[in-house]
Amino acid sequence: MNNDFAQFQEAFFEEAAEHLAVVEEGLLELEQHPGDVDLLNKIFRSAHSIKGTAGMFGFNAVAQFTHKMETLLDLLRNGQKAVSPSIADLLLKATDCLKTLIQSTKSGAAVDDETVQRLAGELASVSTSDSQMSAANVHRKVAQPVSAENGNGDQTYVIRWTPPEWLFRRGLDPLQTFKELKSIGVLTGITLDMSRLPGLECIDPETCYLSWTMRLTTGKDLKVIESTFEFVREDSILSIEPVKTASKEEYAQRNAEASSEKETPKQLGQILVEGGLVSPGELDRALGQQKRVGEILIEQKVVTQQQVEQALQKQRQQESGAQTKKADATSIRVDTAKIDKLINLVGELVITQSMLSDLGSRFEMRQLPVLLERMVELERNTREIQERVMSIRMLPIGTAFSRFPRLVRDLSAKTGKKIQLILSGEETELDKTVIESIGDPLTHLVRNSADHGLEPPEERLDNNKQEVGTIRLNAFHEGGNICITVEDDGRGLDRDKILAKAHKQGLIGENDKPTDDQIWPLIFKPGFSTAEKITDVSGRGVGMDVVKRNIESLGGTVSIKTTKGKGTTFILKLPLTLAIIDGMTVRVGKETYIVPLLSILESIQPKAESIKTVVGKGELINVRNTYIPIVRLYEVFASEPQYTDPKEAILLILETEGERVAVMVDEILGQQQVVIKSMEQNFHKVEGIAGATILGDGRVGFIVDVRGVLEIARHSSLVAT
Amino acid sequence: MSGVPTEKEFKDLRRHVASHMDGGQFLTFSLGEELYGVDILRVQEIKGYTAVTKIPNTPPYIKGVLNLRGTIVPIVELRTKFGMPTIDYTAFTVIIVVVVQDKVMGLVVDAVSDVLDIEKKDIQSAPDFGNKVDVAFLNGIGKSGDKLVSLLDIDRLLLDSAAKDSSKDLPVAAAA
Repeated sequence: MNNDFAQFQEAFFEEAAEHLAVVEEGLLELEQHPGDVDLLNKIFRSAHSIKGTAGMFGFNAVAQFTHKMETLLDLLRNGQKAVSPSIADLLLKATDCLKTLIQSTKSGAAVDDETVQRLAGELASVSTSDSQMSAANVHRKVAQPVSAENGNGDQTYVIRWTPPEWLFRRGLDPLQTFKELKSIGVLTGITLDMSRLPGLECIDPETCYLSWTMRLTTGKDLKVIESTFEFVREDSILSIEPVKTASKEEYAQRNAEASSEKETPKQLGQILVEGGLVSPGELDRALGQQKRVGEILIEQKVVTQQQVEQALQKQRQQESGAQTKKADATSIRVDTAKIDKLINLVGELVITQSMLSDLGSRFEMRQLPVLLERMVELERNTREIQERVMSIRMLPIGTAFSRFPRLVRDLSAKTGKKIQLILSGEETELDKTVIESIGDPLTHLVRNSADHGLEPPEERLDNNKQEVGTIRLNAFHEGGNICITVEDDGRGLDRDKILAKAHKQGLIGENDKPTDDQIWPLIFKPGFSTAEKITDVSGRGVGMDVVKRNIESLGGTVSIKTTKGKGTTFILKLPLTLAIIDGMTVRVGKETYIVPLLSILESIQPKAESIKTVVGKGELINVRNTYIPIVRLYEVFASEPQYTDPKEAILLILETEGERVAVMVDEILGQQQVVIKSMEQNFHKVEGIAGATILGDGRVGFIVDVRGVLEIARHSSLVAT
Repeated sequence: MSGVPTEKEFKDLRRHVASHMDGGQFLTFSLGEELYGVDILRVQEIKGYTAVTKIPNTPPYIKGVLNLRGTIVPIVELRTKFGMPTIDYTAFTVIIVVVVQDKVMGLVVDAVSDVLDIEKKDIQSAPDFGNKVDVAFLNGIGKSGDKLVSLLDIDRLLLDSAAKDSSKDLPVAAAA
């Protein structure tokens, strides 16, 4: 039962996150268009949904806080208050606070009560101040539903009401009563008790089984409240009790108790004490004698102290492991159309399969063309299903972009620069895991652009640039890859500064004359920052190396384009998905390898005169007047080749991180999609190999890591560079 | 959360059993004239030898990898690992698939022989041969009738090959 409920809670958290995103996005837009009523309505709806569902799940803190936001939003919507920058700011802060509230409800972590209270207070005071008196009166009360008595003599009552069973039969509606209660005061914390509800088979639809508990804060006296129940008073069980002023601490404590009781079943000792069977003192003594299993084992000399400690260590690791795992559990929302299509395809697959097995059971040689035809159909089906299944994991990248308007707004305030953010290509779809992992690198890049890339307004005006700096985020498909660019129109990378720093750190010799393409990647080195002063935004020289590492761990690359005084563009190239790649199967001796198709530029059978050597060893191939180093794959992988003469073999021209290399193999077998299998699962990472896959004949084939191969070759000085 | 242990709990249980040389059932196999045993709870399956794919730039005792119903399983040749001379594979050559911590690995052995019950009293600790023979990967020596069974500590035996950083094994000599 509990688990089912948890499942719905999970859905709530997901939904809440979506609504929060809508609220935040809307608020940011609202700053630009303060009068947009549609926008306000949209924000209001989302806030309202959060409040509603939170209340349903009993997350009262969330519901109450959202209610306060909603109150203010309602005023804005009705035009009773105008949207001002300070209000927008407050609402954004409140959104953040709500986010943390929801997060802590999810994880069970402690909430920073002070901030919540302060913001709630601010929201309330903004709602009350200089709006109409009646509204003010009501909304102040909303702000403090916790404290029972407030300034103007309002009193909070707890009302418990069990309506008579004949309620519905006489055509009465409990909702009417609630509406009346609402008209005399502020109604909060309405909880419904369904415990008397019988099973569906013996339920009488005209009988009322329900009862309610609620809090009413009002200035009216008891008689007025009682009069609300006049029509339903007969046979009702009704109690109206004024609440004694409960301090905030008590309230919080009550909350905490309630939640802890809910989560953990009582311990044996506690139950015994409560049942009066033992006294608390006796229990403590008994517990004092209890030993941990480890101690007992050590006493019995079964294990040593050391072994127990190791075991405990392991336990702790597992516990922490389990926790992280819990946080990782995610789900995905899929368009039903995608699922329907998939089901159709599976249907087709089943039909093809049954046709094939029918054919197989009474196969004659003359039916061979039919068989081949069916096989083609099977292949088409399989491929289509594979594509559809992959597409389920695809999400529009907009979800990763959505955090940036807020980030840029805050950065703009922090750095005092005027920044305009332009997003495009949000609808570009890519794998969910990729989307989740590019969030951080992108944040680093945007921060970097805002802090280092863009100049302060005065400097921009001096350089005949628009005062407002622009950061442009774009995503698009290119080949089988997705490209994400982060572009700014700031000052660009300073070649001399980077070079000076590189000299200082000894990354480049004093007399070297590096090219631009060699210089720019230096900023990805750990601890490399040319910023003169470290701000709290960036400049510590961590970040860029993290960006590069993260992107590379996803199988992608980062490159930089920059012009001094004009701006900088970071280009991230990422694979669409991590599970399947297009590969070229090649043969070296008896072994089969797979080379990622994306890295192959072309393949050639070289002529003798196009191969040159440097100092007798380093081989180069002339491809249309560019000399490219040759790497013999059999040397790198220490295997037996069929050919050792490049003229008989095939050279694959591969590109990795802007470098070209010609890899020599015996033969190209063909092109196919391969499913990447982890080597690390049962073994460890092998240099030069990106992963393994299962070939058509059931054997294992290795996927070549082009970069790794080049590194190995360099390591053993095979290539002239 | 019923009485049935989860996979994880089951694995922990296996580990627990293996770390105590309390005796129990051992799968024995032969390498030449010698008899070795592994705790039967660590054995996942036994399969006939099939060709493997060699992993480049790994120590010689890593025979290669095998596709075991969709997972990639590394295969260790025990003879090479122990520095014994290699022999031609026969119809008796088998791969014993074992679970080492959470990793699945295969051992190539000459032949499987038997499942033996060895009691705790019949197990003595591994003798010290000094530098001549490394007995670190032995849990003890078991006696069964007139047979002597070297009981392997497969965690110690295999974990280093499963976790080692292969960068140390780079073929620097390949340049020649």
